[in-house]
Amino acid sequence: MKHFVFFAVAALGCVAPVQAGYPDASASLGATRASAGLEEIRGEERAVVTSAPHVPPPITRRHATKVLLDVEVKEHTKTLADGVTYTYWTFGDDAPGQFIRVREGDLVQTKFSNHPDNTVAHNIDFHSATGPGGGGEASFVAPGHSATFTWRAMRAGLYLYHCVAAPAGMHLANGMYGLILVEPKQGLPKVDKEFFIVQGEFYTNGAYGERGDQHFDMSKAVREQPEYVVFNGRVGALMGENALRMNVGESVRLYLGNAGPALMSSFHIVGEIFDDVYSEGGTKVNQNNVQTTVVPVGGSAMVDLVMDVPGAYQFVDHSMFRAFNKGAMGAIEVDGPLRPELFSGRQSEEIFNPGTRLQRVAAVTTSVSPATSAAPVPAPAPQAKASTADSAAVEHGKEVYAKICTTCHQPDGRGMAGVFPPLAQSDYLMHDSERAIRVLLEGLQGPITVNGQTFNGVMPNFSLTDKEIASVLSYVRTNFGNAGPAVTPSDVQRVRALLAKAESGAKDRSTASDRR
Amino acid sequence: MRLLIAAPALLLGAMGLVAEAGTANQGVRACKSASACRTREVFVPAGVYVPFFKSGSGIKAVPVEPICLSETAVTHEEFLGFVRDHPNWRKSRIKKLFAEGSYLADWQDDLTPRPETLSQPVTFVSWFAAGAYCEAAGGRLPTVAEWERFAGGSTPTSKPGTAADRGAGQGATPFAFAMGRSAPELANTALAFPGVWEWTANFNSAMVSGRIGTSEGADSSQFCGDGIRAVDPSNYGAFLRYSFRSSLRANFALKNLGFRCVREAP
Repeated sequence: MKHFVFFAVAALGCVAPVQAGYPDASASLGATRASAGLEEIRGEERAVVTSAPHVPPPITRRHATKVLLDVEVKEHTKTLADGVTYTYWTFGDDAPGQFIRVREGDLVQTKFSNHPDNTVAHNIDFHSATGPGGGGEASFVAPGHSATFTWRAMRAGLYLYHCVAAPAGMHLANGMYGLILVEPKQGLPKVDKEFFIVQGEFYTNGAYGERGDQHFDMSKAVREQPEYVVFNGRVGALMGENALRMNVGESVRLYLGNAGPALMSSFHIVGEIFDDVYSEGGTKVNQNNVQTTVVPVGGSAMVDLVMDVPGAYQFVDHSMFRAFNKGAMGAIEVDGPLRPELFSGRQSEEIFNPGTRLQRVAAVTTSVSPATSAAPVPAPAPQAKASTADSAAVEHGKEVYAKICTTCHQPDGRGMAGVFPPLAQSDYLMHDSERAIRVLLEGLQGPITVNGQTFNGVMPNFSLTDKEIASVLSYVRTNFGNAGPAVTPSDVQRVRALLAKAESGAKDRSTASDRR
Repeated sequence: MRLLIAAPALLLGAMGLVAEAGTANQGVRACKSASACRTREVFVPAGVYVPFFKSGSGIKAVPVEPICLSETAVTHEEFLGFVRDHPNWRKSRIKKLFAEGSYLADWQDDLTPRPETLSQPVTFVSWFAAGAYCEAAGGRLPTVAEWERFAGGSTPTSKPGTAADRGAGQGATPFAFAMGRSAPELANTALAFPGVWEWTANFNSAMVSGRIGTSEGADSSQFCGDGIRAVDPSNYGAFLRYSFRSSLRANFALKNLGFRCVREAP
């Protein structure tokens, strides 16, 4: 009981100095302005901010001003990938937060609010601010509280802002980051279009793609092994209908950030070269003709480019397992006239057979047909069935497709001319559902003809379950202009059993031929 | 001010009472009897608390005395009984110094909590009001050391991924992530954790850095310096607990902050 009284007195004593402690930020900074020779502040305006991937227009103002910026933190459940939700902590509605554009010399009065429904303390650290914690201490507030502080945008450049409340890595990994451009007084070279992209990681308790509500996994975070590495906050944020759209010949600037919190980014556009790179988000172009630029964790880069050849492009973190297996991929659609003098596309295709041994995959594939006729057939062939796809399976198939197939076959199923065969209105796909099942079970290698075009690539075996294969085939066979019967998990099971039998037979034969 | 609040713990340390785990009862008043606790209270025997943040001289274990601990957080209904008997703590009459404007914000008026919340933990209560409630009930708020011992979810020195860490660091909500029974002897009790944070008597003693715009040094606790000072920098649940506590002031009344009381074991 003695303790209790003592604590009460102690805490009482704390109240007064805390409340008296907030100085009038603009007044005190204004007083230092004259002595420091800073630009005069004229007028005030609300900050211009935009949601990803859009960037506010260039600042035409010729003087410094006072910028009023409101930032509110939300904790809410959002979609991380198809069928996967996660409790995000965000500045505003989304990860990344909105892009903020101010001018060098501006005074930024920041009101930082932590929503009353939130569960933990938050704050904001502007890498563009010079002062303790970048504002981290000044803005640190409990849920249901706001704090205001003012900082001077002394140095032009592209900066990350993020929450730095303990444990800082967890706040970053839950989505608390964004970009702020402090535009140089003289402005940046004018371009036709600007976008922003921020890379970030998610450490979910479930593996990549595991459905349902996921939450932060501390031990994966400490080991720096994210399940997701994504651009602009979720898988597919810049894919399909959200792809960046450009025209041939347009000048484009990309503002790149990397929130990490663990992995450096090697940003690369497949099939394009950056004309100018402002390394690490500084104000100087310090390199031309760059294939891949590093975006450091907690840092940025700016790249200028002109797309010369129309078509579909992808951009990745070139640490390629992140791109293929963790979501670090986005798309660019470029419209404009063909430029055969720059890029021809495929000009011819011939058989190349210098007489090597037969590939294993091909051997198994060819051995299936005889095995089918020899083995007892446990169920009628799928083609004979007139089952219609049930909508849950098709919906599930759509998610599987988005996760695995879009990378090559594209969100619209049209594939890529000469490289990835189309699934849309595909005679190859629709001719034989058993063959389609085999392709998903075993992968496919070697020349095939689809809709009269020859393709000679490799499709790996993705180790999908019977249900996933049935769902994704039901989806593609009833979409993209296709209309065919559904595939059921038992169809897949049957083909899988046949293949297993055929493979053991093939193994026996090849062992025998080795002995010969 | 913070030094003063931490004084009881420092004093014990200076008197040579710092105990290693396993010899926890040395120098600490032995618990007399668990049967001294009332119904709906859990007996928490004497033990040792290792502060999450190292002091100047490194890791220091602090002995903690036995307490009787409420099984649950204080409910709206219980708090209603308190303000009936103590009119000065009603929302229309409370002094501004003792609670900010959101005090009992979800009550319709002085004596009317929403009926559907009666059995739920009361929130939107300040540290002053919580302390006054406990005092009227013959107890007090738990200290950080006591609260961390029963609710910390893991001992601060436990390695992530060990059995002791189970229950913290994996939950879907920050509360589930950060809270759970820590002492093994509480495993079979009815001790319950609501989906809210809870006040502690000395919430601002452990670590608070300057919230008034002046820096108190690079080790300020809610920022990157934390990791260096923490006994176990992988205990993210503990970071969340300490970070949240350090964002508080005694007059705050928040939606996700309630309390429970303890009594020193007779």
